[in-house]
Amino acid sequence: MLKFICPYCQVEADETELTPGGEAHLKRMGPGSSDQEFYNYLFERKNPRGIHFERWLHSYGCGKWFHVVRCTKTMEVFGTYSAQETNPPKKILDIVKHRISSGKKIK
Amino acid sequence: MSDIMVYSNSLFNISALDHFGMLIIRAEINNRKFQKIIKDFFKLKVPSRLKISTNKNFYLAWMSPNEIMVITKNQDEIKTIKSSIENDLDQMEALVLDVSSSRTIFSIKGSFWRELLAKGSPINLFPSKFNSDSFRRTRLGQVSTAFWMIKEDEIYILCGQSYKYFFFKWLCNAADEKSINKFF
Amino acid sequence: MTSRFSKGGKLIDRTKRLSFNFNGKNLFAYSGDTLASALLANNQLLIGRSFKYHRPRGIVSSGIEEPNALISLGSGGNFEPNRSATTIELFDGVKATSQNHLGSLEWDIGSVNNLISKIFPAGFYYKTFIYPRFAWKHIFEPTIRSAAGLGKAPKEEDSSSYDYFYAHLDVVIIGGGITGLVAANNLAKSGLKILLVEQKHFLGGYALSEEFKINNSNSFEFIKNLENELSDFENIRVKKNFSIIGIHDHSYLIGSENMEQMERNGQSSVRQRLWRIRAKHVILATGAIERPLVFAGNDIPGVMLCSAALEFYKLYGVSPGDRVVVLTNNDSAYSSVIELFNAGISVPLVIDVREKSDGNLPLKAKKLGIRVEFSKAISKVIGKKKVKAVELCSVVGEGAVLETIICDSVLMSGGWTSTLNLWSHCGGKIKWDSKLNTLVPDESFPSINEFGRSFITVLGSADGKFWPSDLFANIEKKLNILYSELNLKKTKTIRYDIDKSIKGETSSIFCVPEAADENLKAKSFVDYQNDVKLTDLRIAAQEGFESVEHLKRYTTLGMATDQGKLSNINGIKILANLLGKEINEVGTTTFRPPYTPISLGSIAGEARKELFKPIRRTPIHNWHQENGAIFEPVADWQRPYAYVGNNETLEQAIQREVKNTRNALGMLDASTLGKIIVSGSDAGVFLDLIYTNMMSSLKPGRCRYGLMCNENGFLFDDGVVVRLDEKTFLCHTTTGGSDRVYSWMEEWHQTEWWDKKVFIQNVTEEYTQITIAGPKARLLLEKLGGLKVDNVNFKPLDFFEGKLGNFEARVFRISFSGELSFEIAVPSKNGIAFWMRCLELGRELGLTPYGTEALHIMRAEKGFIMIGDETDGTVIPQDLNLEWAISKKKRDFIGKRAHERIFMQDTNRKTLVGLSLKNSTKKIPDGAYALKSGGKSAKDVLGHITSSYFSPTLDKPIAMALLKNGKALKGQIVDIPIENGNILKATVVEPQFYDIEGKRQNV
Ligand SMILES: [Zn+2]
Repeated sequence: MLKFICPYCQVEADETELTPGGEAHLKRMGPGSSDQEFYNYLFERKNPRGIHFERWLHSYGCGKWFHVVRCTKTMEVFGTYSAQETNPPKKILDIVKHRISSGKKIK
Repeated sequence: MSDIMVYSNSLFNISALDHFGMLIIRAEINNRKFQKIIKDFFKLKVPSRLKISTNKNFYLAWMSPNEIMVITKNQDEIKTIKSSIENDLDQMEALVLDVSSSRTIFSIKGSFWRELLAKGSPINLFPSKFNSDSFRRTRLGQVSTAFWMIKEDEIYILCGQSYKYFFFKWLCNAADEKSINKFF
Repeated sequence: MTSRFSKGGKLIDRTKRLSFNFNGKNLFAYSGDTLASALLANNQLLIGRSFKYHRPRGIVSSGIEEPNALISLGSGGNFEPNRSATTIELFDGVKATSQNHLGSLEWDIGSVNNLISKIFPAGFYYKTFIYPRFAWKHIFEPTIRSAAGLGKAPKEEDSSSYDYFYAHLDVVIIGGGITGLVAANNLAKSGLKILLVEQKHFLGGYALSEEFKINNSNSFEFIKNLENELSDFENIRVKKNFSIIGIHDHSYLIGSENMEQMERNGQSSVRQRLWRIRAKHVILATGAIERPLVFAGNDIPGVMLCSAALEFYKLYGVSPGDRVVVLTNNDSAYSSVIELFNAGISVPLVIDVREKSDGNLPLKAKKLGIRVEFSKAISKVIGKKKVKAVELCSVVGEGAVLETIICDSVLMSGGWTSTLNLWSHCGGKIKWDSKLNTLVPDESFPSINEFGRSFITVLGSADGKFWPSDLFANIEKKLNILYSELNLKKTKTIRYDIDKSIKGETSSIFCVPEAADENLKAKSFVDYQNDVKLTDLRIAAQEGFESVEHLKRYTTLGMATDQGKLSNINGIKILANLLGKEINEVGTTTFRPPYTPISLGSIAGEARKELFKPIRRTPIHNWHQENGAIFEPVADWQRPYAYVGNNETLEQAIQREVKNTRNALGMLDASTLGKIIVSGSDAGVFLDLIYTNMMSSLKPGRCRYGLMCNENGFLFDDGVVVRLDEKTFLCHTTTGGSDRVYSWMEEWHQTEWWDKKVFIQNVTEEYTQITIAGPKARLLLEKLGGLKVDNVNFKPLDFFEGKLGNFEARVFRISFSGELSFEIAVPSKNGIAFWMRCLELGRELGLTPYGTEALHIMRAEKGFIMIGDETDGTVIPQDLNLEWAISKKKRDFIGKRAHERIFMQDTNRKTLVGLSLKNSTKKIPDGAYALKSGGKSAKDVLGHITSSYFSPTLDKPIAMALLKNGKALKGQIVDIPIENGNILKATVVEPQFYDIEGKRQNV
């Protein structure tokens, strides 16, 4: 059972208080995009075994969407940040880098 | 044809309270101008994250980074309050809505209210984490709620008006004296 | 025979006698007994029959690892199958029944399986599924179904209640044995919030029965002191009868607290409480489980684990037998031997498979004059329903009998396995320590929490430290590490003074004799509950099953309700030996939750019956209920489907409601419709992106019907949008869509178009909304007063806000029935008063409330679509002839790009048509297929019926359908196959059946 810190409430929200929203940082393809671009936008989703960027909604809470960086293999969480960040903050990417480079064995 | 929702046993008194008026104010609540307007109007500071502030007339609760809720103990005033605060916020991007009919407030009296809530809410209810000025939106069982302390042995719980029958039954079931897990 | 000693038994209260019933016999026991100890005290050795062969089985263990003694407990609403007798704390009057036998327990007809066990070899199920196919269905399945299986499913509803409890703790200590208690005592002063849980009904674990000297007292007194000290700490909760059944991601623990004793004596209204715990840190003090040895006849009632026999004697004052032979591969068995011997039980022989032992305990046993034979084993146990004798043989060789020893009990000890199930639930790896002959946690691959750090500390015998001095050294070392991990100040070192001389080694021989012949192997059980024998493992290895995971599935080893707590290690070891490999090479199986079985009731918790799922009610609900409403669930809401009068059927009521609305006046509770406020300077622009229509051009005071598509272009909700003022829109949604559409708008606003200045608020519950429809609707509004409702001042799609009579109201002139119609919203707290006022004023106009079915019929007569009927998540608005609601001027809206995809413009897409039946009074079944006239096969299918009703207005059946290239089919006949091979012939028509020009609503 996952838990994430909602960046708006700063509370540890239980998975049962949250709603998952799939891959983060998708670029919306609207009118004017090519068929292939639009197809990729609709159907091509990353589902890595490893570091993943996701969207979650604090539905039983403040009602705000936020971003999570976590490892789908080890369930480690590297950070959460606002849904209005179009790119993951450097601070969080540094944590990811640090944890991976620290050479800790991952099951 | 109003429904009387009251339940009591040796540990708890549960009742639905219907004399409150409620307003939702949507705006960037960290904005200084907004904070000043609210402070001048309600004589209360805009509550900080996960908090509720109160005086003898109002509760102001933090709902989200762009929402506060005003609860007034006198429902009849709500119209006047709404139009005057709407007026004060006229120059800002803000939305004021009367939600007095949308929500029901339940009062739970009894010193084991933490135990009762812990049957349905996944949050940390130890007094060090949830105390007198805390305001928490979470779920209780399968119902979306928010609650805060009134006294050491009383809390108020907000839930959607259409859920109140179901939620009242949930509360009564959870309040069963012989099922309370004395923990906190 | 097994019996009760006249004295002793630390847990029983001899002043409190209890009576209980086993298989119809009334028996006596004492308060504090488990069902197992009580049965043994009554010389009830035979407790059940095995799963496959129906072999007689007795109690093997004294704890949750018990594979044999599964019984059904209680009756009626309290009936529960498959409870293990060793974990039931006895209460007065309990009724227990044995399971899995045809006929009586003593004379089981099914035990013929035992004679023909060759038809159930390893892989039996797999092979039978494959060949011969007919045999499975006609021969094996019926036979197996009646013969195999555990207890029966309860027939009555569970009469008990269940609860959840959420707790957040700093440290959870799992295991209330001496290790857990010492750990809790050390951590107590830290102020951390600690929960210590013990699955049994007593604290102390094996240290209660296997006593040793510590700090100038014995372990029993030491434990009592620890217990007392702990009760003084505010920050520590100690719970017995509490099993942690799983450790999940982000240090989430599920615990099951069994309170059936308290439920029985009236102290609790709840039978079991399911705990959901977040812990910062977990201490596993889960101890170890003694392993059986594998030898012929090791399943005959009377063969028991050494530690179990000692517990039955020390805790409950029960003797395992009068003449006890012991078979061991380690020193720990000797402490049981010495205790039992000193209690006056005859121990004719201790058989030790090892060549020798220099340990203190064997030495002590020999000094007492007990005969010990090294390098020996049991060839087989003689007896059927109980042990009669054992045949002694050499460890090496085929099992030639050297001597026969008369006895009524065989105690065995194959060493100890650390209980590490919980360590690996969350990914922690375990490994085999071939020196200690146990599993140990692989600390380099721990379970990790969300920070990527290990959060489980394994202590004591769970960490492979079985002898007291090792165990205490381990606790001290590991707690020191924990202190620094948790940044705790070490208060003071508590010193433990323990005899370091008691120690010994465990041999790696688990299975004897080493070269046993096939007859012996066929009676040597590895997994008791699933009847897996040595021969089965040999077959599996021969057939090439080299991984333990495959072996397990092929032979069902360790897959019974006990999850192989006794059998897994022996099975793995035997497989490794057969393959000539090490245990770590064949691998251990993966432990998964639950650690012990829990009841389905406790998983459901309070969510049953009326608390099963939230129900939403409108403010008019009670009135509906009192006036004959049949309710229909729509999303979480309860809506009146129809109001059935005293002298009519449901069908008649629906027809009446439609006719009354069409001819006079009807009233509908439409409060469940979603209502969403979208407000702000960019509200119009934002809604232009959300709806397919242009909303920014809507004038204040006006309404517009709008459609919403998802990014795939598929229609998912519809409703009337009202512009309340320049910057505020009120968006109506379907009943099912109120929360969904609100979340949808929030999501797009927050994650894509956060630059748009809007606030979105769901105000569905704020308003009671009532539809007044019918030719006399205007008359009622005039009677209410306050609004000029003539067709000039209040045109179709107009909106008014103000006083309607005494009520603050919003009035919308919109129609979903095709009649002159007004929807009126009042604050919910006035909802019922307004409804009553309308009823009162409408009486002389013939006003009658109608339900959702009448609503649906009227909209279908008009050809209005219904989300969920005409749409199914693959339908675009164009399919429903709704092009008029799709703006061509807008550059973008959600779904626009998708509509440009080539197959969205395919003329062969299914499009909406009407169907007309000639000379029929019966409606077409909903969802039926429509085929080309004369069509026979799947390729002739044109589409399906989306809505079908008998129209009271037209007095004939009407239907709508989605048919391939529907526009081109107009006027043609299609076939609709119905039951019994009959075919209905329908004509394809326009999907409007009534008042196509809309004269009725525009008056
Ligand atoms: Zn939040």
